[in-house]
Amino acid sequence: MYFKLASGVLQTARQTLLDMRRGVKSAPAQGWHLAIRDIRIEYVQTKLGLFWAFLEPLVIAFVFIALRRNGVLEINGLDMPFALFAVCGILIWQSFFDSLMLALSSLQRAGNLIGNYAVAPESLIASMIFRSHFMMIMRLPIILGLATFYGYTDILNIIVFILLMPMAVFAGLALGFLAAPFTLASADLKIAVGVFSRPLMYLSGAIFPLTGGLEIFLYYNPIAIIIENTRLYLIDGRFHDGSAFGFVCVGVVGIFLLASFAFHRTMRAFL
Amino acid sequence: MTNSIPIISAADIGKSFARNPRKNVSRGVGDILCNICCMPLTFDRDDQEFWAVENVSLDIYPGDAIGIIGRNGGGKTTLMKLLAGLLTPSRGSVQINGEIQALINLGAGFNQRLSGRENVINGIALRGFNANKYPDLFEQIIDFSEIGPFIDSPVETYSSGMKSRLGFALCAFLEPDLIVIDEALSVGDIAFQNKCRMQLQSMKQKGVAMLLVSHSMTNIKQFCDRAIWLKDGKVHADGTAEDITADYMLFMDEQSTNIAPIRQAQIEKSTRKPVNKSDKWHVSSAPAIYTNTQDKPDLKNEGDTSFLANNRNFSWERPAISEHIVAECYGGFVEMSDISDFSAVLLTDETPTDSVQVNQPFTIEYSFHLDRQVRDLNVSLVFHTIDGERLATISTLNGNLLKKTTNGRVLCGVLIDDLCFAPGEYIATISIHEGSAYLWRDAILSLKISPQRYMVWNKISLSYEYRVFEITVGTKKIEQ
Repeated sequence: MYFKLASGVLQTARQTLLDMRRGVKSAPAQGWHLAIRDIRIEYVQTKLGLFWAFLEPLVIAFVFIALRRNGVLEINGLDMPFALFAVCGILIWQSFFDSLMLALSSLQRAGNLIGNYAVAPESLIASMIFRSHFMMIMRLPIILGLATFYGYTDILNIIVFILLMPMAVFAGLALGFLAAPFTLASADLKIAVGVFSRPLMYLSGAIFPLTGGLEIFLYYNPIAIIIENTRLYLIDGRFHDGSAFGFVCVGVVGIFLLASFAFHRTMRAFL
Repeated sequence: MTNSIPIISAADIGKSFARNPRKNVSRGVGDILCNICCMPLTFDRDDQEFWAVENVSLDIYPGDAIGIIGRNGGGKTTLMKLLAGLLTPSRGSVQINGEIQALINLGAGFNQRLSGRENVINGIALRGFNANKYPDLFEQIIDFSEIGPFIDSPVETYSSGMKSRLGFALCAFLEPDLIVIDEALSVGDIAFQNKCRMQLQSMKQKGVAMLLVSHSMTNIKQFCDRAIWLKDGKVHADGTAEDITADYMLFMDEQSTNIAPIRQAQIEKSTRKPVNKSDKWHVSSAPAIYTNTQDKPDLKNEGDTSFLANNRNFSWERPAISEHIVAECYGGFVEMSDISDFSAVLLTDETPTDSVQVNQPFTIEYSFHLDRQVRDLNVSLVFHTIDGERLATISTLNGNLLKKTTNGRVLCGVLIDDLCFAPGEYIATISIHEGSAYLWRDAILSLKISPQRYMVWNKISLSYEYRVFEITVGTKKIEQ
């Protein structure tokens, strides 16, 4: 095996794609290992361990159930109970947001790793995919438990919902990896994304339905489209706007591939 | 060697960094965009950026041992990272054909919260090995690192020496084609350092190439055949380890003193010219005699039957020195099975003795047998006070006297015109190295320096000639 590892800024797109193909081969095994390592690092010194990952969505669910029971939050005209609407929306949003921030900060977080191991960028991307899905999986039992509690038990709807929910994760990862190299040029970027993502949550129909003038976001905000369609499929077995959702899915995959290319070229170039 | 494929082939590589990466965001974003779009950078480098490494071309073949030297900030670590594939060059290309293990940082990128065991498993996996397939490998690493029961403790509780040991063991046991070590062997106790050096020497004999960054010129000379001196990111000199380290030490000596411009010019003149790409480096043949001053009388020929250390009728006995003193001298006794039949003798006027007068010339002869093939042999003769304080060292590294020796009997003599030590009890020890690893080390002679008719104060008795030219008493001159 005799290959070109790096040739700086003059490396052609074709060479990068060949490198990526090589990196993808080892990515699943190394990515899995890195993800397990990172999860262990996060929880190894805690008493409750992995239970903390499960506790966060559980608390959110309890809060909304309690608020609804006390009549503090009650929104009429929904296809489902508000608690289920809000918890489902928040947890899908949170999966998107966590993935976004994880990918966005990946270069800084993995600085020590990148500086010591010749680990391929694809392995790092794979580890972020596994980690994001781990966090998503911790939320699934809460959503499905709440849906069951309210009587939404159609097994086909649940299976499709489980298959659709990773789209929120991939959307976050795609945007995060695309922007990650630019965090090396400006530390403000990560903070700005964190700050401005919060208002976006309200414009994505995660907690409150987008009605009136805000309804336009259901057509032009990709995250809103993912949340609305995924959530509605769990409850009703149908899409709010299937073609828009399909278009967003294709876009997410395209952006993810582009982001992987950008991440590969820049991971070791600007450290 | 040059017929084989290089493990690393770096062609005209360079790496630039911004002096303050956060200062010019638009430019940084521009650089990143250019990189993503596979376009060359559109603007010139200016004073906001600097080249940490510039125009370095290097081929490393199996079995090569190359030392990288230079002052702090000279670009050594950046070059290591570029060659190990940990950084992408801003210019040029690096081709890698083989497995590279790099020990750049102390602790080899260990996570502080995880245990040593978990970090080793991760390290094995991240270097492309499956820990389950190599259970012996894991045990070897743990055993070599001597971490013992602490292997299951978080790495944050480890001392720097423990981290270094584990990091070294991890890199060394993964059977790389090239090992890159950046000043990582300078920590840890002497015994472990020796263990690491022996491991490195063993790897070198198996044909593992080595790239060693060190500020210790002794390490570079002991380990490496070739050295590269990096200055301001560029190759200032490239040649044999012997020549380059000598130039570098001269340069550093001059840097540490405020030298006159003329002397500086002389130094610059004597410094090797930057290497021509077409030049092939080579190891010069080792001379049989080395002297650090001129006009010394010749030693006996080694075939001379009067060479007492080799004389069957002469038996050498290790001086009766307490282990405490030996420990003070060099941290402990090292004897290995690769050296046998050691003998040493101190001679004045060709007569064995254990006592010489202050400032009197004498000779130390020693002989030993190498029971196996040894590469990069060197021997250090060290004089200590009776309390173990190290006073002077004479090594065969100067002149590379024994570097090409492989096995068989070694006979050497050291003529010392004037030891300059004040009267008292001294110990001579010998360390026989393979590279920088110890093969054998022990106290060989106790030496008494007896006084002459003149008085000596302090530790050193300088050879001198004192002249009084004139003494005037009142107005009358007294001629001497």
